[in-house]
Amino acid sequence: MMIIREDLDKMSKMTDEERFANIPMMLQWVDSLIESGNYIRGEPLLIKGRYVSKDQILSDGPFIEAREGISGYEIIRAESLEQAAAIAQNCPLVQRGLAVREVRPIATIYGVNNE
Amino acid sequence: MNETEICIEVIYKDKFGQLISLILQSFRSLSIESAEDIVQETFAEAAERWPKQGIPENPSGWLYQVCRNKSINLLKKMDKTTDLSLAKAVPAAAEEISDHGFKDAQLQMLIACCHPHLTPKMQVVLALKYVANLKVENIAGQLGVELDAIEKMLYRARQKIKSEALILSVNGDAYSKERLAVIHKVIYLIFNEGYKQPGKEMSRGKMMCEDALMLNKFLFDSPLCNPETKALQALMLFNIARFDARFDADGNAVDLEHQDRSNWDASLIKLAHLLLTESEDTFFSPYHLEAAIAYVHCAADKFEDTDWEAICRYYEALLKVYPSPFAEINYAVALQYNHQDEKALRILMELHRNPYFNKLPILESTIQKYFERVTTQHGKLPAYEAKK
Repeated sequence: MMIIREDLDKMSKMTDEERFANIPMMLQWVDSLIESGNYIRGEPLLIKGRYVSKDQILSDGPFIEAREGISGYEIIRAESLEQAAAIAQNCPLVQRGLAVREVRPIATIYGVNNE
Repeated sequence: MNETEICIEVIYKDKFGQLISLILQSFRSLSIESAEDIVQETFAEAAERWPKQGIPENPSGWLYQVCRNKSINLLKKMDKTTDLSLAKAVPAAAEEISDHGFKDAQLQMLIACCHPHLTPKMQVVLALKYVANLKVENIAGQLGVELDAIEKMLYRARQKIKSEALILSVNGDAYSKERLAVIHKVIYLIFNEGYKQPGKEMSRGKMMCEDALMLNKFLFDSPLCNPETKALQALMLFNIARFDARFDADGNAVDLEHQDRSNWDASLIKLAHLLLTESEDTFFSPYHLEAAIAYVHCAADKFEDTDWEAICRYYEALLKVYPSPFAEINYAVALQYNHQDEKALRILMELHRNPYFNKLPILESTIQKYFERVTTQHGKLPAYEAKK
């Protein structure tokens, strides 16, 4: 799984035009992954926040739109973590130093929750 | 993992919190920590004995009985005679503890955790930990705070319970209206935790959702029930009606547009709609508005028929009564479907500039998707953006 960690600092200094210019490249890249058979799918990430409020209990909720409507990461099929990392390395955003991609294997973990 | 181990794991996830609740309700002088230890030891004993002796006929009853005996032994050591005389009234036989008994204890524990001497947030954290048996990291995720903060809060809550000798069991007067708001919130979060489980955790997720529905049904049938209880029940029912349709046969997530709507449970949607109508009040709580949004989705026969304008209106109302970045991001997505890209982008960028929110993964991905979509759709930058 490749998670996008954009460099928001750099992104914010770019003009909108520069920012938009990345999008077609991103799409091309995804297309090339599909062609090579490495692309599986992109999925919405779980909402995770970091906001603290004094009076109100801010929380996530069973909202539909963002979670079931958009994607936030890509799942690719790769021989090894190394191959996956190499694929992620080719991401245009990574190439231009605008984002970091986190590559993680997807594992099924069995075991008893013990806390 | 063999069959016995799987069985123990399933029971552990389902009953751990309920067993703690049951013991604390039965033996008032036990601390949360001792109750936790006792339940933990009991499961360890099961893991050792069940593979040799076989799974008992009534596994939960067996666990309860062992917990009960351990509690009595501990109380004898502590010389708590009042509690011991009380113990005689506590059902000893495994058969006497029905599933209903477990659920009832769970609700009592939930009400007990919502102790007004603790801050509302502490109440929520305590209840998610001990009533719902959520992992600390999941509680942190739900509340949008760091793991550390939850650990500290749990520690402080336990200290406070000890130092002020707060009793975590309930009698008649604990069923007060002032606890209700937090109780609703906890149920809502238990439901949400279950609802957002990925496909491979589907059955466990559904179990949590059903737990939340059942807890709220208890409230629903009690004199405490208010319009918010009904609206919350409606909200959860609208969502559980779509639970299975969100995954394909392999457990992969299917987005709203591609879900097979004939797999949405029409009878549950109907029931939810009835409850929502019944829940009408002079004031719309967040549960009312979120249920209304869920209803609009459920009412559309096809994705293309979705009344995004109505959804946007409900989000606006929701953000007025209960501003939240989580709701705002979803509002921004709805706006895009309602052809209000400019407004959507403004909201997303506003959140993006906010130091608290700009690390929300769902925000990053929503922004990314926004740009991908407008570029694909228009083939170039939208005019208003280029002007800036």
